[in-house]
Amino acid sequence: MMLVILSGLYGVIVYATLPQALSNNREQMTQMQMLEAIRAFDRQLHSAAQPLTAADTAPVLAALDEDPFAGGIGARLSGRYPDCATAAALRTLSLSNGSDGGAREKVVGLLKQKQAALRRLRQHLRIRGLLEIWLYVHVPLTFALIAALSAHIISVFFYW
Amino acid sequence: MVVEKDIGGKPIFLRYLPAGSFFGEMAVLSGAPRNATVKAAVASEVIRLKGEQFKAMLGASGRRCARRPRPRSPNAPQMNSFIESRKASYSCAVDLYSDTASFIMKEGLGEATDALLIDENLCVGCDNCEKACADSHEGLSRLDREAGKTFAHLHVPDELPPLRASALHGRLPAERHPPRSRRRSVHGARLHRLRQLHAQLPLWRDPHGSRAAAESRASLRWLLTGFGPGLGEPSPKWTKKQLGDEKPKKIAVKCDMCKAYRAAPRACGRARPARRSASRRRSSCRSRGSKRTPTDGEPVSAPPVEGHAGRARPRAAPRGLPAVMRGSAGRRFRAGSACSIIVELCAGRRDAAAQWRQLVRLYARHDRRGADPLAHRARLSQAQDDQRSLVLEGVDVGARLSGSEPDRRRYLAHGVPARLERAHASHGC
Repeated sequence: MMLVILSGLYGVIVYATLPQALSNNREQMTQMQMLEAIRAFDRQLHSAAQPLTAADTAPVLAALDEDPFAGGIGARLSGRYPDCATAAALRTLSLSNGSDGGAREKVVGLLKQKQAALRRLRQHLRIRGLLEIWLYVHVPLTFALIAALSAHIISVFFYW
Repeated sequence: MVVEKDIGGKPIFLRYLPAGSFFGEMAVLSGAPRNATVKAAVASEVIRLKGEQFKAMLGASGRRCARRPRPRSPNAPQMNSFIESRKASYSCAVDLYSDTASFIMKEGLGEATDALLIDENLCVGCDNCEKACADSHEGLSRLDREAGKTFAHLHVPDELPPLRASALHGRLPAERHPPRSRRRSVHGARLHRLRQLHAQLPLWRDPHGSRAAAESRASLRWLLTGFGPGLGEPSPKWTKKQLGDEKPKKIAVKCDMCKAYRAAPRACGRARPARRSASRRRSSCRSRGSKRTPTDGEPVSAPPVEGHAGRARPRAAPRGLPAVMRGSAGRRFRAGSACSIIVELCAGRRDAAAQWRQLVRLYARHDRRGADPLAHRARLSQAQDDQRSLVLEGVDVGARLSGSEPDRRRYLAHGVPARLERAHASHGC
């Protein structure tokens, strides 16, 4: 019963605050447009990374292969992606001196833009996840509570 | 209030300030000396806010917002020009505080008969509205909730993506669909974008969309646990059985505006300006009694849209047409069997069947040869289609049909040569 009450409180707070955050985060973009924006940056990165050396190209290729939905439910709900290939590529290329400076700066700029797009998408998914997970927790718990209460009442009258 | 400025020792009128407006902000923000005089034209009630208090209020607001990243503050001339531009755009005091109302009106809620306005402070993004829309429209949602404009967390869902050539199996060139074509109704009236939810739209659908909707039954499992097919979604088992390994195709489907037109899948092109202008030309010809026939170059004579019977593909069976009407099934249309066929076609749509029967009576009364509406339907022109829609809407066009046989023949002479016409001719109908 306490779990139902606590999850109910969570639901009240989350459903009162997060819809506004969801609206602010997407800024009139749809989820599909967010994904298309990331794909567009990937295409630009693919062509911009051609002049780079092999050592600098590897993290960029890893960033291109990255699945924005990957990371599991923990990453989805926390919004933290420590293994983000784009962030790793950004760190690597920022410290690298191997490639041509102009080309590297261009790739770094594109990586930053992709990271911003990824951040928006992941925040979008996180907020939606926080809203949805309440249904999967609270509703079954509520039915379980109703069943337990029914069993309790019936057994009380049965053994009266 | 009247704003004046002394130029050459004479007060020159600059502008009026409506009730609810403000003045004197320029000197407070920039510290420059005042350069105009404001006089009350009528008895006015004015609130005076001291500059120090206003700056203190701005400072307090700045401290509250200090944690948020703020854009670089504009310099005084830019801010002044911004404020002045805002003032200039106000025609009355209401405009000063009605940006939200202006947004709503700009989006057309003043004109729309049906509108959906979402308060995004409350919307949790479950998309059940789209599923409910799909459930009530034969498995096809006309609503794209996320798309559209938002102002102050008020969201006006936009129309779905425009027609593309690929949506019509490559038969329809994309340039035949200029964007503004989506802003016209079947009658040529200008539609508001909100009404475009009812426009003809292609989507990724399985080719059995309507049957999929029939198979769609929101289960108790979906209701309790969220798993399984929900509203407007066919079960995976049913979809697998229908499609096998085939991927869903992109097809055009009928909309609310033309779903009652059973004779051809007019899911596109009806609202195109080319067709509309052609319809107007026909109307003008009719009014002048002209015998002019459309040339081959005109869009009316070469409708490329599926189901509209382009001359280049005379024998192709129109997709989506009931088999009994294709002619390929070997059935011939007889006047006596028209009603039974109609009822068969309109099974499950009693209203439509009743309207068809009414149409049959109208034709039978005024034109014996037109007693078979299906055969006659094959030669209906675009303008007649529009007329028939008036019948469906309850407007009696019997008066127009009666005593207007010359007009009707002119209709036929100037009408769109439907694909069905050739199909029937080839079968001796």
